[in-house]
Amino acid sequence: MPFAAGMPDAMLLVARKLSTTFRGRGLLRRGGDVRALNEVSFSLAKNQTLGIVGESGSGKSTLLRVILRLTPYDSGNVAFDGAEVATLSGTALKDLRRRVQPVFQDPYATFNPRFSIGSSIGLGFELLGEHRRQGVREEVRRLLDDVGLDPDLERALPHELSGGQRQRAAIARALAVRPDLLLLDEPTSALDVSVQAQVLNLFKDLRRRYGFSLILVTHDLPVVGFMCDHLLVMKSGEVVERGATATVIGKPVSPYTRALIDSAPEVSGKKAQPAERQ
Amino acid sequence: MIRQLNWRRYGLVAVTLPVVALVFLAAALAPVIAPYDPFELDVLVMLQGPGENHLLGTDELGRDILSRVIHASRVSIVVGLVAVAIGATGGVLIGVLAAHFGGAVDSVLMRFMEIVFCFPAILLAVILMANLGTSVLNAMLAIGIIFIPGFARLTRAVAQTVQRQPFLEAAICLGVGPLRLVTREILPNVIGPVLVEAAVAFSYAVLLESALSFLGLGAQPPEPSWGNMINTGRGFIDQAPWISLAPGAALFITVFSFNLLGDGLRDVLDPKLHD
Amino acid sequence: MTDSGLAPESLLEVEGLTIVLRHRHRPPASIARDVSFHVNAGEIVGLIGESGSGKTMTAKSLIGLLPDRMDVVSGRVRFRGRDLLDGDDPARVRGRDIALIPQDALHALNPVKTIGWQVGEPLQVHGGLRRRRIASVVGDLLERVHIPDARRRAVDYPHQFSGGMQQRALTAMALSMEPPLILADEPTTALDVTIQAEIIDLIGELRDATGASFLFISHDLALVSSFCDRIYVMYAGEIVESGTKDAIFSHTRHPYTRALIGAAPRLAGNPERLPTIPGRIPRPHEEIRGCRFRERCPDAGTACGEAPRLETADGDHAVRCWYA
Ligand SMILES: Nc1ncnc2c1ncn2[C@@H]1O[C@H](COP(=O)(O)OP(=O)(O)OP(=O)(O)O)[C@@H](O)[C@H]1O
Ligand SMILES: Nc1ncnc2c1ncn2[C@@H]1O[C@H](COP(=O)(O)OP(=O)(O)O)[C@@H](O)[C@H]1O
Ligand code: SF4
Ligand SMILES: [Mg+2]
Ligand SMILES: [Mg+2]
Repeated sequence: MPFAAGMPDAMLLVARKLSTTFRGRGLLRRGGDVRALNEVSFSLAKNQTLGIVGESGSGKSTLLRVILRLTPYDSGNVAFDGAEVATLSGTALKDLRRRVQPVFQDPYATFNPRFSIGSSIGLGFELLGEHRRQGVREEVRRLLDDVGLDPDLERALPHELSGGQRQRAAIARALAVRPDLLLLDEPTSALDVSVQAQVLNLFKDLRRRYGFSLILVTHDLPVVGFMCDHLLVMKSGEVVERGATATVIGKPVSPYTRALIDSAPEVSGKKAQPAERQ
Repeated sequence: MIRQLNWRRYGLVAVTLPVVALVFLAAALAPVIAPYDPFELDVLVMLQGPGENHLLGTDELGRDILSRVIHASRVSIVVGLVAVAIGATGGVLIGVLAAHFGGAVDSVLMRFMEIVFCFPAILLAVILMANLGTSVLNAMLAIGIIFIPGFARLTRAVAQTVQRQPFLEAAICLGVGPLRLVTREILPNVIGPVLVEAAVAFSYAVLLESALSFLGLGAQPPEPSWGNMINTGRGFIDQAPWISLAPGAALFITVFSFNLLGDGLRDVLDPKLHD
Repeated sequence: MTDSGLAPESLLEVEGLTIVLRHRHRPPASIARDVSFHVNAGEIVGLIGESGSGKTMTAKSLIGLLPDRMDVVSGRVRFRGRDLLDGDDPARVRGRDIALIPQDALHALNPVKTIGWQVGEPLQVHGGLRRRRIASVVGDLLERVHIPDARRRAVDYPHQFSGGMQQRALTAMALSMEPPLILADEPTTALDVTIQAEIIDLIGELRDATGASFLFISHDLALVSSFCDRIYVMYAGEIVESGTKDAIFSHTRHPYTRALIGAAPRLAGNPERLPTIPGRIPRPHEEIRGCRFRERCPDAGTACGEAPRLETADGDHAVRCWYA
């Protein structure tokens, strides 16, 4: 545990032996139970950036959803800033909701199609207690500007924005409540390389300005190489490797990680190798 | 300008809306536009066929059919509006609750709705009215109750879809409370489909009210309603078919155009037909 | 494009394809302009470009699946010497001769039918196989695209599959008739690297086994660079550079291609900020004089007010740029 050791006070998020099972549904229980997380442990220090990679179905999204309390877990625990997430209620829960914000993969579905972008982002400010209409509007416009969008887009409906613009707007909505931790689930997978570059740069800029920690789930290893100082590799609901990004990419210990790195295509004409599946 | 109308999207509404408006207008202005007093008996012109003085003829008591058809539209429309209001309010409430709480609450509510749904509507209305008494008010109530399951199912389906959307989860993660989630995120998405359902339900309410009146359970004579007029006309169908045919035609036109309006609204609200 | 593009082994030849979108209030907008490319038998050809550059519509036009107000107004599409644009009913080509793996896995599957039923549907429509036989073929297909526990999961509904698994099921569906040409529209965008590499390996495998050709559409340069024989780079409806993989990535000539390559992060040794391309891709209806990339081009000069033509530089390497 290269970075879970020592200084527990500085830890923003600590997960211990977290397990989640999805029960098979329906009359015949078709599909059966799926163990989506199996004794997952990791920790995240304040101001750290952690990348989570792994094949599809390895439990990356489930892990984020558990932290957000959108999906329940069976055993183990996860604590945010020292407080067990599962037991929070009332104002403590509200506080968690505010301090941990997600940005999801699909920029098309993350905005209510019936509301303007400004209205969706303004909701965050209202929740922080800003009730003057003009006050909310000013904050929204400032934030849109911060994420590199034209402030006049506050009046636009979600379907009028491009994928990249919508993803920026989603980031703005998350930032409105001044979170301490951003959870990003494949935030650039639906975007072009050129737009991805802009969004990734934006995350770096905003982190410098707002100072939040960040967990980034992606299937794209080079994105972690650019964005994150720590890396967690998952497979079939389990953590197979973790450590500083440069170390893991430079000297992977687990064969699975090695396969993952070998199969990550880079722009160089290098042949992608299929990963060994054990 | 008319050339640029997007017919695929607005065509049906553009055609049916004037008819629907006409029906509403006739009901609202009945005393002004009806040529005769609908209750005025005139034994001299009993069972007279359509003609110069009485455009749609007269009934067995010499009352002007056109005036009675126009006045009867008031009963139909009031019953339709009130019944739909009852059905939509109750249904949306139950649907949202079922979708929001899920689990046992959902099962109990929806099973109950299904039981109500299983009864033939007219039978249920008859049973309800047998207990409540026969009056227009009770007819509205009975029809409204019949509509609740339909609206509830629809609302629950839409609300459940919305609940799985990332935008709802994003709102939850912002810390939006349950009440606000429903009013802000879910209801706006429910309104469109409910509006469509309401138009169709309205036509169905008019039909049901007529059926109840026909059976003598709705509007009581001499108060005219399309249903009781058709019923009265039954006895004279050979000598004076217009007594039944005129309210029948009014009923048909109203029901048909509200049904089409429902389809038309569906087109208007369907984002795939956006230009 | 050299004459070798019309070599006899060409499976698909597209010449001067222009697609327009008719608009109620505006003059028609061009979605694809004078697009020419070819796919030889047994070749994997990449078509890359930013979102909205016209890749999907170009592919869909080949099998008559353009949306309502879009039409091919000029150009020729020949498949095995047969003209696809006038004459044949495109529906007959679909699935049997040319299959499409659609872009959006999450919306391409019918939510109320099982995965197995949907994968087997082309077999039912074209093949006339018995039910039990279809079930077994479907099982094989799902195994081939590495759905774990394939036979048991054939009875699952789409929502029970993860995004990646849905995309794999769609791939299986396209493979079912073993067509000679498969148009794969971003088939791996929703997938993670390991599965992505597997699908790509699978595509290579299939090409080797059956001699099938692929037109592989993607916005992911890294991916395309790893396994396509030849590559076409599309920008705002035009092919701006084409050539072998090596020509495109090691001897890049067009400023747009260069910018795209620069914007992709690396596993290690990244700069503090990624280089980006300023501005955005023009919308199809925007009137543009001269080179369509000019607004965003770092190399733009005086000549660029005039629209450049696609010129063959050396061998098979063609570029649309005055200063390349
Ligand atoms: N149904 C449609 N009606 C009108 N315009 C459309 C339609 N579908 C696509 N377009 C337009 O056609 C152009 C090309 O779209 P296309 O889908 O081919 O792009 P693409 O290169 O495949 O992009 P992506 O990488 O996002 O899939 C775009 O400007 C797009 O807005
Ligand atoms: N709501 C759900 N119901 C049933 N199974 C699920 C659900 N969500 C995820 N799963 C299953 O849990 C496993 C992990 O999924 P997920 O966390 O989405 O993986 P990843 O994000 O790494 O691709 C997969 O096998 C997936 O099919
Ligand atoms: S022609 Fe000019 S503007 Fe166009 S790509 Fe070349 S240098 Fe840039
Ligand atoms: Mg995921
Ligand atoms: Mg596309």
